[in-house]
Amino acid sequence: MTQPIRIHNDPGVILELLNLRTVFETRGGTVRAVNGISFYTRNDTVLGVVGESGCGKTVMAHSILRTVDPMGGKVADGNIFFRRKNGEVVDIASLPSEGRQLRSLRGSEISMIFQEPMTAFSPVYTIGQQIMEVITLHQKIPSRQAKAKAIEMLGRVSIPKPEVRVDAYPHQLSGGMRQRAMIAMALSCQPKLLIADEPTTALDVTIQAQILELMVALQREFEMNIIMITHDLGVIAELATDVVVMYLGSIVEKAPVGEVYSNPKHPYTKALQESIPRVEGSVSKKLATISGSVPSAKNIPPGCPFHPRCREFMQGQCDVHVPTLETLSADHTVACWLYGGGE
Amino acid sequence: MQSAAAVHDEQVLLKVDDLKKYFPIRRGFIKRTIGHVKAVDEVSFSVRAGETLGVVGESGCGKTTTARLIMQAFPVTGGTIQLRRNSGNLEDITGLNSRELYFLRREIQMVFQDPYASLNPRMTVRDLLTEPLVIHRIGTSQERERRAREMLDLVGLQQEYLNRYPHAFSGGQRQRLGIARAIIMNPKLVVCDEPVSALDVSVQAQILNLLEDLQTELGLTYIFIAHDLSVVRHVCDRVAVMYVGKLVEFAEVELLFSKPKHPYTEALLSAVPVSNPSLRKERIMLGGEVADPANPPSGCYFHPRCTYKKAICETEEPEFTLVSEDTTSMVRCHRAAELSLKGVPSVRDMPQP
Ligand SMILES: Nc1ncnc2c1ncn2[C@@H]1O[C@H](COP(=O)(O)OP(=O)(O)OP(=O)(O)O)[C@@H](O)[C@H]1O
Ligand SMILES: Nc1ncnc2c1ncn2[C@@H]1O[C@H](COP(=O)(O)OP(=O)(O)OP(=O)(O)O)[C@@H](O)[C@H]1O
Ligand SMILES: [Mg+2]
Ligand SMILES: [Mg+2]
Repeated sequence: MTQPIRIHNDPGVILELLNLRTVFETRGGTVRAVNGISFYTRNDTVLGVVGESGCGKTVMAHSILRTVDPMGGKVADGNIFFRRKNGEVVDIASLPSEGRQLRSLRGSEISMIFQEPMTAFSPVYTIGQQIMEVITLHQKIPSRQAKAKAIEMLGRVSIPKPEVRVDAYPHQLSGGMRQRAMIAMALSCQPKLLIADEPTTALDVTIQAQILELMVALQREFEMNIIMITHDLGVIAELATDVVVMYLGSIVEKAPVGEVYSNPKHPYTKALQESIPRVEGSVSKKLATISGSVPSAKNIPPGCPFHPRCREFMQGQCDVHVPTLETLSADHTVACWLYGGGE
Repeated sequence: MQSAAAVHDEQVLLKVDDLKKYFPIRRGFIKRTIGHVKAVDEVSFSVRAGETLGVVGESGCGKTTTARLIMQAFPVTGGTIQLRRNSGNLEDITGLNSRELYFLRREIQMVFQDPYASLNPRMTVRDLLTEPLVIHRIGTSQERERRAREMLDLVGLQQEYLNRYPHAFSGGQRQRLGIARAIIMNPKLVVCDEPVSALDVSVQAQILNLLEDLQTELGLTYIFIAHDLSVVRHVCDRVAVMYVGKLVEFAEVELLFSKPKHPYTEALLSAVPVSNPSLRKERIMLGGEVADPANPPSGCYFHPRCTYKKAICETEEPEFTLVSEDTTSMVRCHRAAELSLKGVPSVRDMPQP
């Protein structure tokens, strides 16, 4: 199987994963958390990544930063091509673990926002000190200016009285404020790629709306590529330009956001769509459900990983042969035998 | 202050009037009380038999505290909670003694948000399910076992699971167990505190459908606490909106979503992500922070974040009153009558593909 490498031909492409596999060796067996995924994103994309709990979203994010290594995971196969600010393309998968090159990428060209904001801050320094550190690491400016910039960033994430809060310690902020401060810190180095792993699940809807709006505004302003991991299809509909749907470590469908909602192809994508209650439109009393439950990543079914739960399962085909991502139209790819996918 | 639905008195299963819960804030060595968190304040509403009443609002607004007061998990600071008991009469359940509370537990049960934390890991499914029956000395051990099996059937779990421990179950399965445990006593009212918030969308759909089937089959009444307004729209008949311990709006679900009367409700609706990219909309951005219930603002609690505020809103607190003569909707806003607020798009407004 050979795939075209786009990042070499299209300067707008920021990140391209090729057949990425990440595994954890455990006593109970090998966990294939990311099981051969390929996609690319451009500097004008907000890529939504959706899928049920355990499908490998977080591990994929940690693979891109190579922070899976300290978690006990290993990038076992594939490439992670990334275009640096100076235009050079590096394969993150091949960089030495915890080496100088990796460290220079993290927090300056690629930033990550975690679900649990407390872990991102050190409890012994003020929020301002920590944001200033990020700023001065990559921009040689005097500390007065850095502090002004930190205050500006805190203001932009709608933290009230940023000139006061800049001197607060993390524990003095509410959960929602800490989350916003972390976003301010992640954005203060103006990264080219921002990976946000469920950045708003801990927040109230009104605050969530503010943060999402802010992220989109900053994406446009800085021509930054955002990868937004979430289980909330509503957040994706509001924010993403493109969507990747994951199931058990694989990508089952990738398409522009409008296509995913108006013209979903994969039976899993269709089933996910039907199972969400909607705030708009008519209220049908029964929600569609997906039969069965997600199998463990230690025991991925043969053939298409979704086949045991699929409504359109074809015996002798789906349970034997693995479908590969098939291109349906310009940006719409699907891995499903209904669409002829496979080698 | 009378709640509107009291008019249809015989339909009412639960009636809450002027409910208050103030938690003392203590400081220092001798734990002197220096103030109070008014977690629930002047809350009045009623629940009709067989309906699902939604309670929504931001984190910390008092939803769980309201639920726990109804369960009588702790005493009220003020107000009454009346439940239609087996006698057929509405009786105040505040201040019951422990023996009376024991009988109350047969009539009101609770389903919790966290299916992991709410089940004792050292008990088998059999013990978990029959425990309430044992406590209430209901049936022989065979009868209890039979009832436990019935419950597993009802919530869609296999009977073989009786000997398993909770850790061997997925989140969705544990939530089914939590529901089975709540309904095994055949309660009238089930208080569900964020029952699907911790679950994946596909599992969430299964649990919501289950709750609905059980309601039809067993004639249950639900109080359904949630922060996901899409879920609330789907399952609730009427909805109470709370802000900093107080009710700010109470209405039929369709009315609340299509014609909100309180600016906070409008902002909440506007903030919900709409699961259709062709309906991306202009949002109302709420400035400021959620108010602190230990130190609420003057006048209308919502005024510091309200885009419609006038001078009166900063000084005088609005009453919780009927929106108009011809509805049962209640609202707490000085400007409710004059404002025309925006709801969520209904089917009619959707672009046809
Ligand atoms: N440190 C680890 N050791 C072993 N297995 C792991 C480890 N971290 C993750 N996994 C496994 O890898 C798989 C993918 O997990 P991951 O955290 O990426 O899921 P996710 O899609 O982010 O789920 P969620 O929506 O719940 O956050 C799961 O089966 C998980 O159990
Ligand atoms: N036992 C207690 N002692 C003191 N304060 C309390 C106690 N329980 C709750 N509170 C306070 O009462 C207020 C309401 O809390 P409650 O748990 O009812 O909120 P909630 O609406 O359920 O929020 P969430 O959506 O986060 O669950 C909060 O300010 C909380 O800090
Ligand atoms: Mg995750
Ligand atoms: Mg709560």
